[in-house]
Amino acid sequence: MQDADDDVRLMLALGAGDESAFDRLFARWSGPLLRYLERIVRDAASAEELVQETFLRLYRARERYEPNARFSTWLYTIATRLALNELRRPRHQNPHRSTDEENEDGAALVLAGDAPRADDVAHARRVGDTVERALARLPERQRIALWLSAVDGLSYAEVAASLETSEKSVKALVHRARCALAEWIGEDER
Amino acid sequence: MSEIAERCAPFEADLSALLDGQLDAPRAGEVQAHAESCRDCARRLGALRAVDGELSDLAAAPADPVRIDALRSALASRLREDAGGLAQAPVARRAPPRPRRWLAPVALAASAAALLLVMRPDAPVVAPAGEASVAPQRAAKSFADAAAAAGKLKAGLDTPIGASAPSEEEPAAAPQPPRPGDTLRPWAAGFAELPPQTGEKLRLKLEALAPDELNALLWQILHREQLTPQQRTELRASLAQLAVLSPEELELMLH
Repeated sequence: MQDADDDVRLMLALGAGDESAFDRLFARWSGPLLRYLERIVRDAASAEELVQETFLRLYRARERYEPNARFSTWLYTIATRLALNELRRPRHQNPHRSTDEENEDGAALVLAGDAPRADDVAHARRVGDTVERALARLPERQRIALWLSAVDGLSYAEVAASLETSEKSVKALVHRARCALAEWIGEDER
Repeated sequence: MSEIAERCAPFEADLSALLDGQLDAPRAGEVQAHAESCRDCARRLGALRAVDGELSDLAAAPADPVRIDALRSALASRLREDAGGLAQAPVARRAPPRPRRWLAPVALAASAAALLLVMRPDAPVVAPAGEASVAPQRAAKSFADAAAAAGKLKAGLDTPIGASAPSEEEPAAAPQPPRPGDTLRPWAAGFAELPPQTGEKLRLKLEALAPDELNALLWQILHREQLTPQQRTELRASLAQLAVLSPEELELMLH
């Protein structure tokens, strides 16, 4: 995790008119946000658009920003709500995509940045593909809760704020997601 | 995962929370103690912990710098557009459209968006002229400079939002991208008589469309007076295909 105080400092500097702070926030957070959104919307182009939208909203809110929560929580909350809105669009209502309903299709995500890799990392890629497929099978809210908690280190309370639900629900979402992934990854490796 | 033994059930739901550090100290101690004394739970905890390891590996892969640069450039364009006064439109703004994507098939989308704006006259359609901050221009310049310096700007990605991408088919007199001072409100005010039910149908149509296409065509509608006869014909056909507007509403759109 990045230095939370530093992020808040940059955001406050941006609000005070220091435009270079925006560049630094983008440099720091665009990659993690892109990785997160790709896993949530399962579409590289949509994820890129949502990263733009997230930063645009961040910029527009610069003068209103108040450091009541961690910067990362605020940023991921914006991104998560945009992603959930995106997933409600008809073009994402595809039976081959995972939604809150269980999805039996485990097609791997094809990311724009995926390029052929060297043979010596073939095993790593196979394992990575297995995890990607397993993630794709998760209902979207489970996927969001697990990623924010396990990867980005948000607390259950913070995830609950992003998903507009209770901590208890987040706890259940995360646990179900982790159990499902453990089972599916185990099956794939057997 | 395997079935949960009765003695393990009270701890099962807390295994993930233990890994995430979300239990209070007494409860964490209880769960940890159980896991250390229970083979099944120790195995389950190990399997769950392994999932985190796999996810961390996924997350550790560095983002493609070319993609990040392209994002930076596209974002710079959108910030420049913000400075131009169209930033507050309640339509999600996306990457610039690709060539030919602004033609008739999606023109109806922009029409729908435009009409929707009329349904919500209180919506912050656009910053009034003169209120647009110059700050976004500075940020945009900074972004664009950074990307250009890296030598990785992709053709087309830096096109201002709302501008059609270059096309050989486009006539020389085609409308130009939005400029500072452009405003949707006066234009939209011409459609304030649209019935609410029609507005709701349009909203549903709107939600089915790709926002980047919507964005590009919204601009086209905004500049509909400057369209070539061919473009107006295409626009009329698209609006007719929408099957939501009455002939009178269609005429209202185009006149």
